[in-house]
Amino acid sequence: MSGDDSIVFIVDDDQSMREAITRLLGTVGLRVQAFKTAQEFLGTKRPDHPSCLVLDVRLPGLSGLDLQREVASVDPPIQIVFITAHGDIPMSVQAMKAGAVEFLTKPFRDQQLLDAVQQAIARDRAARDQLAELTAVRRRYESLSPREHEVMTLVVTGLLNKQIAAELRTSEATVKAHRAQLMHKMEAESLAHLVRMAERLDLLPPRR
Amino acid sequence: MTQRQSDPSVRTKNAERQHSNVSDRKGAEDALAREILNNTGNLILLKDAEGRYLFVNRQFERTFHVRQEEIRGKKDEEIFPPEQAAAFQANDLEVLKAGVPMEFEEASLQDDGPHTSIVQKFPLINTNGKVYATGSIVTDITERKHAEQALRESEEHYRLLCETATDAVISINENGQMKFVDPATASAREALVRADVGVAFAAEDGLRVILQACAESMVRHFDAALARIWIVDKDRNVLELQASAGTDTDLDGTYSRVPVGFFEIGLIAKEQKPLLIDNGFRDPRILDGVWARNQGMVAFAGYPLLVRDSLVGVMAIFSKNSLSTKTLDALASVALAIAKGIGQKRAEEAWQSTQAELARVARLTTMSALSASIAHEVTQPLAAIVTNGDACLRLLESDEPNLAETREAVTSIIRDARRAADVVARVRALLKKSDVERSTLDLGQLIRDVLALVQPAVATHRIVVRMSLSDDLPPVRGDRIQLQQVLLNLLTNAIEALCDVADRRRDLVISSHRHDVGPDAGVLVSMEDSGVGFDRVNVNQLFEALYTTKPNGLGMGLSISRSIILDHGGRLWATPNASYGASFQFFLPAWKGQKP
Repeated sequence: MSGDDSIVFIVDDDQSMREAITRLLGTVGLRVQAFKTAQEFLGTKRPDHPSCLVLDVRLPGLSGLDLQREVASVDPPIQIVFITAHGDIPMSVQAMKAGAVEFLTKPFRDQQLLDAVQQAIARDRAARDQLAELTAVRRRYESLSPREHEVMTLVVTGLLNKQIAAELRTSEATVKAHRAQLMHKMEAESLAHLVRMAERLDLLPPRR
Repeated sequence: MTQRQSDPSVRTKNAERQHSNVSDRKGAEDALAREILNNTGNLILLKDAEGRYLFVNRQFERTFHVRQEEIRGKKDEEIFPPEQAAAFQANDLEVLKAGVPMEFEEASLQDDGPHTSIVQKFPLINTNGKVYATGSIVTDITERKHAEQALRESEEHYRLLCETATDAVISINENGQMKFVDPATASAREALVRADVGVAFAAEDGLRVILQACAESMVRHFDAALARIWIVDKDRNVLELQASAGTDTDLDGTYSRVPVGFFEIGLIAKEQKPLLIDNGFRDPRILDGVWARNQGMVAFAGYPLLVRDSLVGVMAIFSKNSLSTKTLDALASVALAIAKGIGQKRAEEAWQSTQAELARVARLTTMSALSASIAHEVTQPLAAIVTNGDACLRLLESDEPNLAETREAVTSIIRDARRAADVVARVRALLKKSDVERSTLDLGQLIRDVLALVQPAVATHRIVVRMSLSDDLPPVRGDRIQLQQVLLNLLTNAIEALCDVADRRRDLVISSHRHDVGPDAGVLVSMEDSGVGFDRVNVNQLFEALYTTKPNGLGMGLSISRSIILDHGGRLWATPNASYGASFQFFLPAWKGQKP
């Protein structure tokens, strides 16, 4: 089902539960790394692979909800599947509002946990892909010359080459050359593609 | 011996009267006074400060066969038997000391036996303000006393009798001889019915059974052809027939449900006034008059059943004979007795249901705390078992089952199942241990401990606490935590009642002393505050669960406190203070030591 390099982290203070979940996830080929406390999880350097966290609400020391707050600023955010022995509705609402993928009550059905874990990993993978793409775009943008930066900023606002030339007090042919160069460097397939990248780089002026 | 102090201003009036020197009318007044003195049925006498007779009126002369001339200058012991004389002197002395009019009950031996009198004694005061004599006006109440006594005895006799037999009515006199009582008098019949009513309400039966017994008794003793009792359903404003005896015992007939304000019965309920129809039902306005005439009925009497001015039901009888005034009086008195009985029965039922509710709430609270603990302790291994089981199935379903892994999963399942069983055993042991633990306690120490807990609040609200803890308290046996809860609850209530006091000192007096109820020793703890107090009307509600006067109160404190004290064989009660605030007191029986 899943032969990739994704990994599931588990934080549960109950050893039996850690072992059982590890075993269950293992049957579908998922790699698992289990922790006894929230602090232990936070103190470990996590491998940079698509992942998710199966988290018990009730933990000694930092609780599951505390840990959720703690990792909220991580980019991309850690996808969390909560599990609890005695969850109440306000608690589950709080967890879900803070972005949890699922809130399962122990004992849960195996398929419920597997589905939630797969969904969480998929979300993480998508987030990671987006982040990777953004990093690539940013790197390409940084490879542009100052003049190319200027031309790109004006191109994506919708100006014609002639207008850009007037704006930059240069010839239309020069603008055309810069434009071809930056399209190439940005690996833009079309003007629309370039605008999307500019959008992600926050180059577009605020819409009127 | 009873006594009552009256208005001290009478003293000055008396003095004025004694020393009045208006002489022109004096002769006429003296004559008038003599007429009154000598013709009154009361005994009137004057004695000097040493107890020597100065004056007695003619009724006194006649009663004790002495003449004014003989008795003057003599003391009580020269005239009356020593015991009597001593009692008279003691009362005189009280008036001399107090210098104000007082009232006593005195006994004296007369020709026809002992007499009881109400004696009003008053001091005579001279111009220097000194008491120089005492005057007495004696009113004989022997007959009234006898009547009261006779009534009590007859009621007692009838009650005794009617518990065993209702057909033959026999009374036993002082010599143990039996005599038959003529049951034909209204008061005797009233006594019989009231006795039946008393017996019925004393039984542990439901209200219907009790009221049926009452109705049957009325048919038996009041010449009633039909006697019925309705109870009002306040929510629906309807009277519901509860008992019917005599010619018609059907509870589901025409008048089984009578709306308040309709028909004669409903009008009695609405107006809360008795209704008498004694003209043979010829008034056309009477509903069902034809029915009554056909049945041979001549009279109808209906009474509202009122408990403290609040309607609880209606009682009515039909009679084939005219009803005498005395019978009507008797019926009214029976109506009172039944209403009172219903009121008490309702109060008992309400109390019981409150107790049941309280027990249920307490159980629920314990259960929810327990279930949270069980959830954590038991659900963990159960969840691991389920997950391992799921993993096993998945492992076995694969083409090449990993048997080592499967075996490990099964081993885990067994281990976790054992763990769950251990938890259950532990919870059971815990429950056993959580039974009330009783130990011998020093209540004084307990009070000091709890007071220390509320000391910050006492200081904040500038409450003046006075403690009067007796040293010779007998030990009591009880649950320390529970009794601490009671003390804490009462103290907290007192402090809260004192917080709102601005115009007087915030006093809290805590006392404990030995208090014996009959042969049983015990401890009485009382907390008296000068706080806002409570309405005397609400005294019964105070201890009801969920009753509260506090904006943030749950209304459980006093109710639980009372249950705890009752559980310890004691009593907890409240009284409003004469001036301000309230007193809460509880009594706990002393620990009598290990039973042999």
